[in-house]
Amino acid sequence: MLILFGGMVVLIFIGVPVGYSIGLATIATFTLFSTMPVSIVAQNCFTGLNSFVLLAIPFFILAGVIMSEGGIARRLVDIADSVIGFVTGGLGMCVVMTSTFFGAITGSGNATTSAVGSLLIPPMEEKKYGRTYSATLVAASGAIGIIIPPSIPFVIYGVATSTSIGDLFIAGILPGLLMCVSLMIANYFISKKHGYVGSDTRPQLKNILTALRKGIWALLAPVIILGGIYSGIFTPTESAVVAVVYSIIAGAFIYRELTWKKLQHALYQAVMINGITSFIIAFSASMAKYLSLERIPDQICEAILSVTDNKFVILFMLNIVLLIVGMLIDIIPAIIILAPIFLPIALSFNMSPIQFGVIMVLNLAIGFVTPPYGSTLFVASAIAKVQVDRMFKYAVILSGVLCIVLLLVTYVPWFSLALIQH
Amino acid sequence: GGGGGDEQASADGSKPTVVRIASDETIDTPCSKATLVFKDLIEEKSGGRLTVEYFNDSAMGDEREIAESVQMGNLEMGIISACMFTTYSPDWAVTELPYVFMDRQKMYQYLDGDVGAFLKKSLMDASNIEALDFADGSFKILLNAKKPIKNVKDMKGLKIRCQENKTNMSIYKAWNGTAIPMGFSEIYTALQQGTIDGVDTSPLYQRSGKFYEVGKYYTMTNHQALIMVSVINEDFLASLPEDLQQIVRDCSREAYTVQERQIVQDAEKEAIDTMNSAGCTEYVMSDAELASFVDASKPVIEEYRPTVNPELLTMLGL
Amino acid sequence: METFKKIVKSYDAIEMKFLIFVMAILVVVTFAQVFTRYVMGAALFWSEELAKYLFVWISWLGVSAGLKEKEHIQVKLLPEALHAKGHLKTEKGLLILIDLLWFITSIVVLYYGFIIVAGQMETGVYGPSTGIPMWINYLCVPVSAVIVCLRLIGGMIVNSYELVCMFRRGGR
Ligand code: NA
Ligand code: NA
Repeated sequence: MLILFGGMVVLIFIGVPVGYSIGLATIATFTLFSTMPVSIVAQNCFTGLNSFVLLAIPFFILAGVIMSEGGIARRLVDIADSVIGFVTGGLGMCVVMTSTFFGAITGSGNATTSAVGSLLIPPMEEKKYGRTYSATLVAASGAIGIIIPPSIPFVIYGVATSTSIGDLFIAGILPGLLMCVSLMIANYFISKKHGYVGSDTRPQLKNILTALRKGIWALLAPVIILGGIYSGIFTPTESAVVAVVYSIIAGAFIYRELTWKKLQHALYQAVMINGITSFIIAFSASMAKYLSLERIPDQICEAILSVTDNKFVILFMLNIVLLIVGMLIDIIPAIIILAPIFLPIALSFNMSPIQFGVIMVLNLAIGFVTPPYGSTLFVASAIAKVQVDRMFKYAVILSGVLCIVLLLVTYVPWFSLALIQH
Repeated sequence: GGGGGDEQASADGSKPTVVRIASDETIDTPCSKATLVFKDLIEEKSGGRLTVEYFNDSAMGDEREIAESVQMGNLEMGIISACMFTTYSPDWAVTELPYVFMDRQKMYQYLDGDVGAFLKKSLMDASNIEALDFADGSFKILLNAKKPIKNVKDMKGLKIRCQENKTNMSIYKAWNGTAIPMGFSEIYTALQQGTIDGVDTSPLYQRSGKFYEVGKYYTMTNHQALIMVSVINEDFLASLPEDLQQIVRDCSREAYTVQERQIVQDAEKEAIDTMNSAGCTEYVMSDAELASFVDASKPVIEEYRPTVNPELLTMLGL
Repeated sequence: METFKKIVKSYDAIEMKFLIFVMAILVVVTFAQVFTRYVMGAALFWSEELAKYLFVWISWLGVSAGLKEKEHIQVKLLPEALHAKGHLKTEKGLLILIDLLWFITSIVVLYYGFIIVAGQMETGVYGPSTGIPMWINYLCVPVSAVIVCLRLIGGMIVNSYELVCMFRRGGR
């Protein structure tokens, strides 16, 4: 087990792609330490992905790509700017708010970070925001993208633990808004200290309405997705494909920016992003099978419950472990491998599997911004052209702020469960 | 590390052989309970030379994946729905056709007798899997939120959730209803919101999914048997000494054809009680009303006639 | 060398067109399922299974596309640090090692994937709703592994060549 995880982390840090690090570590473990045949890894390459629910992943990616190409992200920025651009740290507020809007269209943290970052980092630089701060704020806001539904990590958690993905999506709404508010507050104080001012124009109803009118089709997309799921009309996969069709119609016939050529490009982009994402699920599934065969989840559950049965202490410990994991590895394998291990512990003191899903994904989302392995941190550093290690100072502050949200979500079930009907 | 169980030693001091057995069911189902019986029996009778590790709740994947793993030898055994083997041997389609087994005792006679033997041989010829014994996964009943179903005519236009496969689609086509495939975890909300009108599954799952809370009527149509099979990798079984092979066979027979069948009947009664006391009302069909379902289902059997061995159909009186 | 580049280029074009085509089919099939269920009141029974199989195919062929576009999720801290400090030879060596480890993983997947495909051709198992033979569905695993391996060999040859040139030129 230690060799498995140790080997995996070493492979990741010398630069082997994350998915193949997991695949190689699993193959090595099967060969050296297990009577299980290695062919189980190849078998999982197919069976690990053979799920209708997982189809939501390429569809949510595709809908996000089409909407970005169709100029929707820019319209979302305009809405945010017309509403909140005037306050102290106005552009920073726009980053957080646009990430929240955009997060309601896409299921990925990296997509949120790159869409918002490429639109807002240049104007922030003009307004004399520190470049490292801008990049780090964009990276932290990117984490909102996977808590506000739709969310690829929630899809994966739902598949790994047989939990209703529709319910998980609904459960993510309030924690996502909580992240939005807390990052705005943090941005306010940091901007005040550094003297980052807002835009000169006060918000005017006329401007807001104009921006809203132009961006209404973008804002309607999440209403359709969530409304469909919430009312039980669509399953998550169906809502994802409806989102794709909706974005094609909006881009081609309403905004008239989506050409045949752009659509082809979007299809290819979606396949490519799905191609670097989904196979990781397959390799992680074979590692999860290995752990399950070796009864590791049972052993860990017993070990933890033998130390203490205090719910608050255990939850705190789980959070610490997940935060460390989030610092080191990618969110997809972390969910597939660890959800079956930790969920039984949460269930043992009657926590809802939905709430635990939110806690787990939120933890790993904070890992997006924590060094050394922080995926939105990497994306933002590439866009802003700042070195990752220079971003660590603000990364610590902003992930600390998100940890407060984490504690609230951990100890107040209401935030996750209030909107769920049954 | 190792394949597990290295630490234990059998009576004669050698390492025990591990039998890994998997299913997609949760730990509280009749088949899971019977598997724990199987484990105890086999470990006792073999004097520790065999140990059983049970992986439930889809830890080793869904039923199709488990069947594949047993076929390849990645798992030694599985407890799997009989209908999964239709894609290995078309004869197995009879296990899920409507109204093939009109009552439980008759079904047991068939499965423990010539029909069962025929199916086992047919699977063995087509694959590396030996079917050991047939357990009882109960029968499907209809629950719905609209009206009491008294006759097959009442099915017209009803949207019923069932598992996604060709036979189920044919059944609802023959009944003039609409079959809607959907994941188990989505059913409750769908029934509540009217996306579907009813659910087609056994009383055990009607209960575990709490569908009786949102659907008010049920009818014991018993239209399809949910047969479960204990299967083993042929090469693995052959690799065991003869006395152990016999122990595996004996214990499987005891666990899945004796104990499991008792457990499932008790569980079924309990589930029906739960549904009734929650205010879900049963409509009891007359013989003529039941016959309307049986007659309406005939085209489904005809659809499969060309692909199933005629000898087998004769045995079943079809 | 030139003909070789041409072959790679035309393969890349075919791969791209194929992936766009399958992704489009995937959208159409899945949307058709939603449409038939809610608008026409009857569900297709084969669409879900077909969509799953297409998804597995684009996922594995997408690995190759991701490799071509150099978009795979990798932690580049170590190679970048070596580059920044001027250890160019070590950096090249590391890049070759990374590709080699990746290559080994793919070869193992290729070998066992091929065995599974062969086994399934023998038993003749098929998908319950679509009737598509399972070996066709599993075939994407070894096929993708072959393409990925070829791309990696190409990358390793280029890097090794540059490494040898660096040694010939001497210095760091
Ligand atoms: Na999202
Ligand atoms: Na991290």
